[in-house]
Amino acid sequence: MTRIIKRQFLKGLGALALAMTAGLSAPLAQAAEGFPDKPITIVVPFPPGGSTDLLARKIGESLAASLGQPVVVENRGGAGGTVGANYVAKSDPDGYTLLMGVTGSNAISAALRDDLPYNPVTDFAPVSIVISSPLALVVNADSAFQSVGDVITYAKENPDTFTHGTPGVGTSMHMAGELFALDSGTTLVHVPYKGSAAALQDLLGGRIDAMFGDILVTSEYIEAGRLRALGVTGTQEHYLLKGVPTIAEAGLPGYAAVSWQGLFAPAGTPDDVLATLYGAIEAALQTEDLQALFRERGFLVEGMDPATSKAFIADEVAKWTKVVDAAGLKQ
Amino acid sequence: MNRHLISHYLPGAIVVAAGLAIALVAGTYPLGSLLRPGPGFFPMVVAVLLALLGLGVLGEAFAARRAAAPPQQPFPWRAVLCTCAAVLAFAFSVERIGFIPAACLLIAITAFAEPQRSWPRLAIVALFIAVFGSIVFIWGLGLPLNTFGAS
Amino acid sequence: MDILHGIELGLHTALTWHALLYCLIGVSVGTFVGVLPGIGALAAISLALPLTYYLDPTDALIMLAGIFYGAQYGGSTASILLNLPGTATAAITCLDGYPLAQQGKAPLAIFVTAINSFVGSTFAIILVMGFAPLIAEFALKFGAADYFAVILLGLVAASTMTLGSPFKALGMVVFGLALGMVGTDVNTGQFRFTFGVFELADGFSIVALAMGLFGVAEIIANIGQPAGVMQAVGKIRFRDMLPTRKEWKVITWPTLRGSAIGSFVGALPGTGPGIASLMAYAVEKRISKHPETFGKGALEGISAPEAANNASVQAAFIPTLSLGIPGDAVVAVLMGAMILHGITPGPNLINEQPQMFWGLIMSFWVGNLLLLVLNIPLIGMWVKLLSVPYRMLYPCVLIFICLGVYSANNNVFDIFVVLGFGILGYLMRRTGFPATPVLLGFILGPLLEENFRRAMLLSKGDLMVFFESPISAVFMGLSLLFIASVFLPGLRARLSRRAPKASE
Repeated sequence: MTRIIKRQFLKGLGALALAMTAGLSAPLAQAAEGFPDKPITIVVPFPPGGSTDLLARKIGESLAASLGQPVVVENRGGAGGTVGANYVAKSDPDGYTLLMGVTGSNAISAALRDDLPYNPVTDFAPVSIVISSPLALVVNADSAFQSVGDVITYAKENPDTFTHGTPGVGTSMHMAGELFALDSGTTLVHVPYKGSAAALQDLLGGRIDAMFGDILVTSEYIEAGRLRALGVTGTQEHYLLKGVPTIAEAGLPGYAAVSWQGLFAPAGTPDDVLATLYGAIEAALQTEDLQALFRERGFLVEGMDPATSKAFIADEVAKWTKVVDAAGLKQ
Repeated sequence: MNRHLISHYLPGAIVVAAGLAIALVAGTYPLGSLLRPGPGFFPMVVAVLLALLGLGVLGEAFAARRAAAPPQQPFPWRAVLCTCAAVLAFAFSVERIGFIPAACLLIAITAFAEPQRSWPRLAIVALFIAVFGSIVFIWGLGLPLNTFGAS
Repeated sequence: MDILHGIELGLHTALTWHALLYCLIGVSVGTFVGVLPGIGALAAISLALPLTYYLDPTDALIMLAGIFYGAQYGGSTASILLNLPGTATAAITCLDGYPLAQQGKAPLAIFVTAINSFVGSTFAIILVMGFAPLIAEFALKFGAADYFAVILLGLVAASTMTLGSPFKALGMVVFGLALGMVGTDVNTGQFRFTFGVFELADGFSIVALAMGLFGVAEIIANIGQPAGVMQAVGKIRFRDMLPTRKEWKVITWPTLRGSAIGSFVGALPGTGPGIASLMAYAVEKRISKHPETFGKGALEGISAPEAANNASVQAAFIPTLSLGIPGDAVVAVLMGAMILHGITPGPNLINEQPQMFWGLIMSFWVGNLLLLVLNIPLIGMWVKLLSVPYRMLYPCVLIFICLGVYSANNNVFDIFVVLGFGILGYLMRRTGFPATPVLLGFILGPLLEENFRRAMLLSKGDLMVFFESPISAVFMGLSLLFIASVFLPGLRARLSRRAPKASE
């Protein structure tokens, strides 16, 4: 009962928002006939409050406004995002159940594990890789390492000594470190934690040498003079860390490791439904509101279309498979 | 008498068996060493400890074998089975037929655990759960369930 | 900025009508969800989070934090009345709270927990006000070896907590350790003991474990029993709730000790209120002159852990607000909320956002006062629940349990888990195996393993690391003392023989 009332109320709100935006934005191209005619669920494979949750809620609001149907965000956390991804992989491919997937749940896991009940690549039809965020290689401000070159030299002279903390096996931070080792021909010690806060705590306490961390979070400590950034993992300078070189520029040509987040539908979702959803995302990403929020959060807007996203993921899986094999991490 | 013996030593034996079973599985994971423990190291230590403590429990039972066993109430098969059936029925049906029907099912099944039941009272319970549960859990806390029908 | 200015600024912020309103909403919602078995602060905060997008960030945080500490007040109610703990903390309150309720002293027990909660919170808030940055820097010195030593002390304390057969109690601690290993290994990412059941990749849910071993087991034990389990509750008068002068005396020191232990544990990121309560309980039992009364309705047995868990919840804000490192999962969500509002918690937060910092802290005072005023009149209502016939009550409780465990991950699998542990819990109860040690092993085990392996990784396999760090050495020493005090009964006997002489 109450559910229905609430739903109708939301529907009304959605319609209102649609009516308001209809006058402003051009009608969407290739809209699927009759889609959507009921509420859409976006599954966030993490607990609330994280950056994926934030992204899903913001994108959800925009989708609700432009598609005229309420969008419900559901948190189904667990096992590094794979529990939620599994749930969506097994859902009906009708575009009403979507996943806000991340590097770990939709690419690294494909390289790392054979024991998942879903296939991170073939079970999904990407709608759009929405944003990417490079990481920062940071060390304690009191540490002797002043540059990426220092780290490489040290790690070469002292194999299995340089420690880097990560939020867990198979996270993009972990892979960034393994790729660093592979590209520089060094061996680093991977120190996994449960979550990045615990790793940060040990980095601030001087018990680990470095970590590949979220740029927004680490920038606070860099400003406060507690950490030093040696490089960013993206392909260009990041606006929150002006003056910090990319790792590629600083000594590892060709190095790039970013984490990304995107919207996925179950495989088999009709192309016109994907197109409708993508159209709505594309429009949403143009709004000043979202762009400002993403800038604040340190995200880079990607907004890839379904075909580009698919190719991008294939590249990612290939890249991480190489790294996982080289490091002997396969489960 | 024989039956009494079994139930007297069964708990300790189960603890020992659990320890051995865990050790068996733990042996399939890389053990590593004390200074570089692998994923199988802690499980193995825990399994051995559990088995040893199980032996301790057995020893205690042996020491107390002559002590008069406290009068044990008969095993409440009805309570256990009804609780199981009720909870399983709820778990399997709640996402398929909705919260209110599933809750009614649970209430109806648990009623059979009692020697006698009063259906009007159970109806009150069902009504309360339907209203309170829907408002608090589905509307208030936003669980992804429907009051009626599949979610 | 000195403290007085801070207080002034904070009061200006916390006493505006809108801050008061959101604080009231937060603590009321918190109390309510806390009382519901299995629904913790995390679920409620997650739900309220999107609603706060449009609020002023300080108001939003005041409300969300209110839910968090409000839930701690409510959390003990279901444990005391129905032996139905939704969290590890509440399971410890059950140990003595439920026996008290069975003796017809439920109003007193709930009143005492409200007072303990208030004192515990107050104690920790004073620490946050005066020393947050200092404490946070101290907490930063805790490395893997130090955590290992602290957790080991907790485990040693846990092993000596319950009555009855030591083999059974220790066996259940170890069984809890075993249950805690199910899931993904942190160090290698390997799935352990999941047997192809993917839902187990993150291990068992603590809520399902606690509610199964205690709640469902309790229901099975009581179903179909002719007599009611509870003593009849008549009309509740205010004086039934009030402790006598003697009872006040009994709870004073345990409450203060619990507050201190809770503040310490809470300030360490990654530990949480469960460990705080456990340590407080174990310490009280160890130093009590009447340890045999614990588990049979000792007031100290609820006072110390309740004070500790509330203190730890407030103290968890210390590393969050002064360093940007969240103390536990719920605070991590609160941090997410700050980031949503464009405030990234970091080492500069107190200087850059003094209005928010002090406003939030002052709102803790206000919120805890509100909670006290709110909760005492409610006691009568909660206790009235016991006058509902059990055969009408338990179907509702079963449904609440199912929904509670379901809500954690929106997954039916957890309902099967809670049922399995319910049956196990009932069998354990019949055969004299205590359930609390299982829960404690389950919480402490993963932390113990994780930190031991990390310490070995970072020290390149040097066991001396546990004795070289002064912090770790101290806690290792305390563990040894604890063990000695248990395994040298001769020492205890001699001490107790000496004690009466001294008092002559």
